[in-house]
Amino acid sequence: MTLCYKIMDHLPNVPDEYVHLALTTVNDTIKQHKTITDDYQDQPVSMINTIQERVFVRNGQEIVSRYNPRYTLEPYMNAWVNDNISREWSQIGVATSVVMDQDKNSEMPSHCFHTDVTRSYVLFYLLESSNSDQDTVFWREPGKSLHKKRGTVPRETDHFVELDRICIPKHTWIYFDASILHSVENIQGLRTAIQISFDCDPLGVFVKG
Amino acid sequence: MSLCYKIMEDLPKVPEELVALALQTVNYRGSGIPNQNTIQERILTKDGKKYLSRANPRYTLEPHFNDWVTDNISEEWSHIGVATSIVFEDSKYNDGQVIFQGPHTDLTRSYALLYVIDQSNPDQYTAFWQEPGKGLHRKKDTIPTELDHLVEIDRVCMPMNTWVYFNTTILHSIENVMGKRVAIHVGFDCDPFGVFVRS
Repeated sequence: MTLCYKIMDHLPNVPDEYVHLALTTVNDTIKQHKTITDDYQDQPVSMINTIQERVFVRNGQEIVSRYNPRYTLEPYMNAWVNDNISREWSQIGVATSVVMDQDKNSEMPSHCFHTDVTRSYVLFYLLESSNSDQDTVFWREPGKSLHKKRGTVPRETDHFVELDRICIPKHTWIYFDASILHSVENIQGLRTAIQISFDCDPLGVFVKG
Repeated sequence: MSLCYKIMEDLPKVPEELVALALQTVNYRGSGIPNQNTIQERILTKDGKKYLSRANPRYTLEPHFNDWVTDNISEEWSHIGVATSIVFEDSKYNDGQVIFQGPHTDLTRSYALLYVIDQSNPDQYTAFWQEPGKGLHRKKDTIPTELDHLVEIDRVCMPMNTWVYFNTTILHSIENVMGKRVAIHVGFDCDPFGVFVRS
């Protein structure tokens, strides 16, 4: 089995005050908008990833992916992450899943296949989900390398092979390799998570020591 | 032994015309070719003495190497360039020739393929280090300034015209550079060869 993720249940739970702050950040900056537009970039809280329209083909049908805008928590969580997780992080943020156009695309339950643009590894701590059966699924394109460059977004995906999947539990750190193509499936509404990004693997899970 | 590098003898040699183009690019540096990396003065303390580290500006080769690297090495590269080792002119710190580029992790990549194409002396080497009490793999652009407490964990004298693949998130320095050191670099944010990452 390819090593795509690890449940890091030895890492400490996030204190309630930061959970509350992360949810407030999302509520104050993201949920007031019905659609993804440029005004996301103008929010008082810095967005730390980029949003662009991603169209992919599944079962012969063009689908617009969900999106996952992420906002910084670094001014607040910096010291706690340094002391309790690792000092080698590159970003700390909270992300929430949204649809590109709520009117046209409100039923879209998938965040399409991709590798991340801003990181190689990520610690993911799910705070809220509308339904408990959302899955993160890892994929490989036959004949291509397992680890792909940043920002890879394949358009045709029906021939991809599923490697593994995980239904991420709430309030538990999950560490995964963001350079393996992954999607998030069956998002019926809400999905909000604290995310800590890494360019290296300080936890020694994926990279040989 | 920590896995810091691998000599990639199975990868093909760079064609002569591309090597010539890389050397030409270095020779014409300063004539408007932008750096791929940032160059900053790094003052380091070693054996109780302050030094101004050598630096390694890198210039793009992507318009010329893109297809060859994609077809013969990997399509997962993030940048392709040629770098040359330089010293800063600063008499305050450098009372003689500085022969090392101090320990650091790279700013722009997690893994790199290096292909040395010119060097002043064949006994230049890349040393890998760990800071006691810290993890082996460090965030990008980590630059310790006090060097005496670092522990050397491995070293490689890179052969000329051979691809050497190494993990740039491990602190590394370049030692014993008596003058020239020019290399083609292919940078990666992932490990498409599966050398360092478990799969």
